[in-house]
Amino acid sequence: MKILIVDDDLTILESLKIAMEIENYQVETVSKGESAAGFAGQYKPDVILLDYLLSGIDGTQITKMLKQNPKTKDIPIIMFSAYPDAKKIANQIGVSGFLPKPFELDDLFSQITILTS
Amino acid sequence: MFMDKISDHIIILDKECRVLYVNPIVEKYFKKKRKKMIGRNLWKEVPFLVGSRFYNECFWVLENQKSRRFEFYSNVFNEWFSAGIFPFKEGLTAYLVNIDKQKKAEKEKKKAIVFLKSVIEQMPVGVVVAKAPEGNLIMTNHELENIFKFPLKNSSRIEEYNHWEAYHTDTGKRYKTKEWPLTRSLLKGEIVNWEEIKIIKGDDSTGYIRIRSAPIKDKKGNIIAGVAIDNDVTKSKIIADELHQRQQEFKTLVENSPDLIARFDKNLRYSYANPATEKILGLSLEEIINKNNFQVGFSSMTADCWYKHLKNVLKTGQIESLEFEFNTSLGERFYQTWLVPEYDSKNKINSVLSVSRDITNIKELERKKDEFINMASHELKTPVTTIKVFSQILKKSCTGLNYKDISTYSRKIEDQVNKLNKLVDQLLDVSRIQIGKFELIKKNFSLKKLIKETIETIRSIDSSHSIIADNIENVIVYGDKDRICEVLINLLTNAIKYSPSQSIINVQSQKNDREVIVGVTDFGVGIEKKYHQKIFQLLYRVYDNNDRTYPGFGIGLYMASEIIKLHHGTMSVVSEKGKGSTFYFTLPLINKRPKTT
Repeated sequence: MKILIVDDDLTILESLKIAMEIENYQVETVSKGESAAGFAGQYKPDVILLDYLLSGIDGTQITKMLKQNPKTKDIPIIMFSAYPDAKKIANQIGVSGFLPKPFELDDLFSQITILTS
Repeated sequence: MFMDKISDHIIILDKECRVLYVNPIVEKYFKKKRKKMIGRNLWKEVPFLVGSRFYNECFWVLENQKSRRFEFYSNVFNEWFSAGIFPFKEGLTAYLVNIDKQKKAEKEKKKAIVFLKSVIEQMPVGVVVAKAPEGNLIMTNHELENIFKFPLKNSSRIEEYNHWEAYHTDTGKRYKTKEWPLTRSLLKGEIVNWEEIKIIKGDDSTGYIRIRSAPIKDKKGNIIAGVAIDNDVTKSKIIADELHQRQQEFKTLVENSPDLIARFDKNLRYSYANPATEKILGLSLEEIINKNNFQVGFSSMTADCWYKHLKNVLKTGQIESLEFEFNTSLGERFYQTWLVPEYDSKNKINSVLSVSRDITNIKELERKKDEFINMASHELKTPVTTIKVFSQILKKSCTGLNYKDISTYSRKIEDQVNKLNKLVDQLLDVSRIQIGKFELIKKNFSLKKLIKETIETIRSIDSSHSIIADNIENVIVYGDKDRICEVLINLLTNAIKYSPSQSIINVQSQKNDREVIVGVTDFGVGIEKKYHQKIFQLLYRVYDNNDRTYPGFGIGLYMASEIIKLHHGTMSVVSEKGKGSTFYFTLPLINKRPKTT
């Protein structure tokens, strides 16, 4: 299963990539919000993990771009953030799931399983 | 005989008072024929005259041979007469004229004058009547003296009017005698309508009077007199001056206020706007007056919002407040407005006063506070997230490989990360409470169920104590279930922490008609009474007899009591040193909850 993780914190990207690869996910990461939507169009992941607060363009704008592109509009997005208001915003823009940072890996995996089954 | 034709009474008597002649009118009065009276003694013929004034005067004339003229009232005829009695050698001639009508007219006139004088005297204004053209005062009243505070001479002439020290209110110049309203009415026939004059009274105090004066003319139109009415307006003038001064003060206040102050009429159009409003709207007062909010440049959404609130004030008489955004020359600004009803003398709402304050800076500060909390949370939790992911990887990776120690250590790292994460949450909650940004998500829930679930959670972590909760009321409360759960966890973990050598903890609840009370009892170290209030304060720690304290931040009880307060409940403690403590909290019951949340 192909996963794309978008976060501007490199340590989070690194740790999540390792954790998910152990679970046999195929993982690509993007740290720059600007290139996230374009990369998703080429890579065509099964699920996108998207941080809300990115330097440059933020998670809501990336979500909008993904939804506008026919190639990516149906890919489920799980937003994750340590930003307290992010959950509210995630509900408003209609992403598929939300996880508050820090989270249990098992919660992440079960959300992915539900979204892709 | 020509005397027969005279309508006055003529009586001629000889020295012995025998009638020589009476004219026909006398016959009528005496009710006797002349023929019968001639040659006879008058007093024997008309004995009712004996002893009268006329009788006595006749004898006096005969005796003194001098004529007499006099007026008298006859009690016999009940009429007034003017009499002339003239002697001649052989007797006297009496000539009597009936002056009754004339006398009665004079009496009526006198009565009228007395009546007029008493009316004028009773009048609550000063009255003066002067004769034209010289100006002598022929009538004044007591109130006039009261106003001027000195006696007024009845014989004053126009030239003497200058005893009264009076000044023009506009120029401040002293009145000349010819400028007095009464003089102008007397000399020129002018009608003066309430001229205001400043006077110096007899007691040297300053007063203000308003005078109305008019000429009195005869049938031919000649001025025969003048009348002036003086009204003392000193008190009302002082009140008016004070009012004017207050108005000036308010005007200064309103016109220099940085707040936007305006008044709306019943049609919700501007009837006043202060200079701050003019400046912000970029319009002159003339351009604002009689316009509505849409016409002065508000967006249709803002104008609609104003319209709705203004209508409410007019309808309900309640003060309303609203916030709005306006694009001013200084950029986008936020305002908070209060709309206050204004009442007329009949207690009906006549207009609405609006006071709007620029809260852009406050808004900005609030936004910064929100941002601070959000960013602090983000910054603190990002490294925790990474640590947590790596510790989870370690734990997962090592379990299968039998690296038991690494697995244990990584679990410990994760426990600590979870603790650290909880602490960050608590600190952020404290910040939110302190800046008023703590939000509750309220709904109805079963308190009994929550207590049971919470106890189960605690049991799964700590098995050192047995928690007994046999007596729990089955009630539904309205509140933030997760936050009430935090309160229960805090009280239960405290109970465990502060009773290390005991093993029982009791949870019980009771309800009355207003609220439910929950108590958590331990039998541990207890708290001295002097600390009972302080333990609910932020960062307050309890020390034991050996000056030792227990681990913790001093946040838990503070947060618990704040959460309960936000639910309109109270928190308290009953405790005795060495015997244990019971912490109570109350929650209002669902049907009694306040409307605002």
